[in-house]
Amino acid sequence: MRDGKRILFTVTAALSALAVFYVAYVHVLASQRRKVDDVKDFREGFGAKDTLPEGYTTHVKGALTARVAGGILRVEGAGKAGDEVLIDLPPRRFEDSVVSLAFKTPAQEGVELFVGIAQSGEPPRALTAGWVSGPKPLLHFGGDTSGPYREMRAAEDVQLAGFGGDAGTAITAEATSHTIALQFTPMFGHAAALVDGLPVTSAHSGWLQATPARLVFGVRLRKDVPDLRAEIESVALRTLDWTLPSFEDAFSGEFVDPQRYGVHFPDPDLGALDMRMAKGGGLLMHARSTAIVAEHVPLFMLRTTPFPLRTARIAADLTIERLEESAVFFGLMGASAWTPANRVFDVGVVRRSGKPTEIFAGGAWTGTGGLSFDGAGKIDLPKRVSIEIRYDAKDSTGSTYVDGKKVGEHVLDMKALDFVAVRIGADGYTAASVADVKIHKIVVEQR
Amino acid sequence: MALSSWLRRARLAIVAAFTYAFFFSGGDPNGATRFSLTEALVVRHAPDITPVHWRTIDKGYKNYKFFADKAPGLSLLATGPYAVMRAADRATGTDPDSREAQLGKLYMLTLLFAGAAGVGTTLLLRRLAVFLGASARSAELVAFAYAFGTIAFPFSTVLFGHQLAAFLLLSALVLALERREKGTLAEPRVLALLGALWSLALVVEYPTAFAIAPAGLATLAWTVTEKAPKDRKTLALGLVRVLAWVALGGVPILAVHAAFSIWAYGKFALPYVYVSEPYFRAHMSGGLLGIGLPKLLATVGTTVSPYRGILFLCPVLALSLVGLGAWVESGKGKPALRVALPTLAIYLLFLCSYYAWDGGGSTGPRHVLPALPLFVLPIAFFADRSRFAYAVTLGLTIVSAGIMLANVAVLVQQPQGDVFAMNPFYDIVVPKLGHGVVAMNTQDAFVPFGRADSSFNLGTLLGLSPRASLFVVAFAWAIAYVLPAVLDRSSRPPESAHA
Repeated sequence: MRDGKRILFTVTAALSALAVFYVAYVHVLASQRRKVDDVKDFREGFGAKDTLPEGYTTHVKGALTARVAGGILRVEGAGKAGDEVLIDLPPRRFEDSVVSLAFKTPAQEGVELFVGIAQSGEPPRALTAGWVSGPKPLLHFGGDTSGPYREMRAAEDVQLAGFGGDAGTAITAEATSHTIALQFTPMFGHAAALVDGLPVTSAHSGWLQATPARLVFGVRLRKDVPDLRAEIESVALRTLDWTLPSFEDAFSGEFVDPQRYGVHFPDPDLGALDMRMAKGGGLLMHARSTAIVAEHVPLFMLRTTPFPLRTARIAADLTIERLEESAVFFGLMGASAWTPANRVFDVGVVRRSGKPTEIFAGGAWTGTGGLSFDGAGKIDLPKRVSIEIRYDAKDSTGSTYVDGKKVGEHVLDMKALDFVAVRIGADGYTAASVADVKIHKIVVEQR
Repeated sequence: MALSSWLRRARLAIVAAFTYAFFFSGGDPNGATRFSLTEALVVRHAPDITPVHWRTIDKGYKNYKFFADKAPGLSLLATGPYAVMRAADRATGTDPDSREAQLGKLYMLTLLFAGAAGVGTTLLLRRLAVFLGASARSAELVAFAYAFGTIAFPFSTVLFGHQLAAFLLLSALVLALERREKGTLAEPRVLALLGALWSLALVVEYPTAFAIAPAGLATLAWTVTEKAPKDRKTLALGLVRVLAWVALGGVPILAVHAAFSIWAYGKFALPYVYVSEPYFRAHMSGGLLGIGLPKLLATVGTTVSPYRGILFLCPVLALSLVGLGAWVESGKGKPALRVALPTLAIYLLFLCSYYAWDGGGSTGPRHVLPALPLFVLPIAFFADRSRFAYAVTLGLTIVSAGIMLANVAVLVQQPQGDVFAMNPFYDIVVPKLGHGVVAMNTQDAFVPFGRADSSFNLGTLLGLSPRASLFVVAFAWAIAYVLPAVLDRSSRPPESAHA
């Protein structure tokens, strides 16, 4: 009896100790995590009073000054090349998000207005997108994109002249309002720069989810500017969800919604993508390869934010204008650490030299993770095609349709609640591949 | 003097517990699937992890549901502590799904089922070495070598089942050997306890069957020959009696396992049968659940390669072979030697024959862990041979502990890759340490994307710099082994008093 009581006491003591230790540990974790808050959506328009909001810290290099007046953050002074006004916010634990800066184009040449994220430490690191003024404006994009396993740095200037197609000239006009944005999507190892809502370039990025970093923005000079007058209208941050509500997008506006899409550009050493909104709707993608180092070169990919897969219907209405030694595809791709990006279910069109242009459905459905294909016949280009993919979460069955005609049906390796993304993209097979595609519409319906 | 004596006895347990608790090596698919099953059992009262299957790649698929693909023993054992922690959440108004609460539960379960198992195995190893005739000094050294100079160290900081399996197997072996010595091995409660320990090890890690078989046969032989049987009938009756008592201890555990299996899959089946990841499934379908003939690649990879070679990462284990020689020569502990030799041989064969010999994201070949104490044990006999042998053992222990400390500090779940090209220790661990980076595991048990806050150690958690945090551990080790000596010296009477 005494033994029984002693065992009971020991067990209850152990359970109490466990509970106390656990609660104490959670308190330590919580207090430590509170030192850096999670990032939250905000937009600062500098309208409340004529000072910078609390928590904003200004770092000045050179003779420039920053002041708030009339709802505008004005950076002024007689500056020399290399001078900078950098404003940073308190560190936050960054998730997938878009940071953006609205500004007016300055009259002077060689003024960079930038926005991005930065970390202190040894060495400090930053990832920024900057708009550089001039008759041929530049986008300066990059910084330290290294991650835990890769020591990789990228920084490039992208020519903006002609950007935006028919409306492109407006971007150089003085004192017009524009936005520059950095889309930070570590779940895809991806960062992109956008001007006025249109993606301009992108890079692989090793910055991780929950990285403690400061939002930074400001002005830096690339040339001597004796009378700088730069105006920043607002700075904003929006986080990206891991959900994808049903939508129908005809690309009839003026920008590609960064809350919904990310665009992967080709490696600048291997290819180029010209992307623009068409008059009357639609998104024009003109991609070409300039070199090749492997079996194929990714020419472009427009993909949604990741979402847990449920029963869904996704559809695209495309005009495939031209394909040269390339393939274009639309469908679902794996989008998490445990559902790899090569686990796909697509409908595509491929054109190789000496062979007819063919439609196919491809995906992982053999249980091996490898790709299999269904042929769907030959077509002549240019051709407008309607593609539809249905996924039944109950039994993991996927079926493909082209112009309303069923191509195939399979039990997929992709399972319900796997994190996936809807994608449309193109690959090139030679150093002179071309893919010209107009995306009229993308539809996602989830049940 | 009493304090010094107590410290001397307890220091290994204290530093091992402190060190294992200090590091939180973060999430990974293996730990995530075990944790998710525990969570499903407690919260949803369900055997499947379907709603959160995206947390892990280690899963099975059957009847449109996802299941943890690991032996369920650890997850089942963890339901009690998990339920206590959920109750603590309710009592303190903590959101049980907050990141802090989730990480806190993962940490506590890791501490209980890997850390505590690591401490327990270390102490049992020391006890066994002394029991078999090794000196206390050498026993302490090899136990330290096991705790910090082998991959028992990293795997005491992650929620895998191997360390718990090692503890259960060694517990059974120590119990059997000690009771045999006392002549009480045939007692029903001892046999039942042995059955329970073996069964538990089996349902925590199925490959422990390779170690249970020789230990079980030896126990059977020791028991029935304890009182020399007069004839075949007596022998047969003795065998039946032993098996019955062992079964009495083991069957309830196996029955729970079988019940879980039937609940989950509708029939008795091992979780591996339903592995859903195509890559794993393709391999599991070869041989017997992925175990085929020995391969040169696996043999080299497991033993000497910089990729996963156990001798590369734990050079002190190079003394295992000479240790076996020394053990045989010493003539001590022959019954234990008869269990250890076949166990080591079978485990080596298994390691060289299993398709996933490299252990996936791992430091060294993790599948060796359940038998690892038996690889370390013989070294005590070598260390006892001479002062030189002891010094060699000590030197290699320090080197191995340094390598393991670096690995644990930086990254336990080292990436997979080319056996002949990859060298995670020099390509990742050393450079990162050089740059002051620790706890770089980004795999997370709760989201399917890498996160910067997935792993950490108590030092950085409390605000120390990464480098300073490592000094805390090294300091703790040093103080544990220096302080008793200092106390001894200060309490010793002056020389003149003796004169």
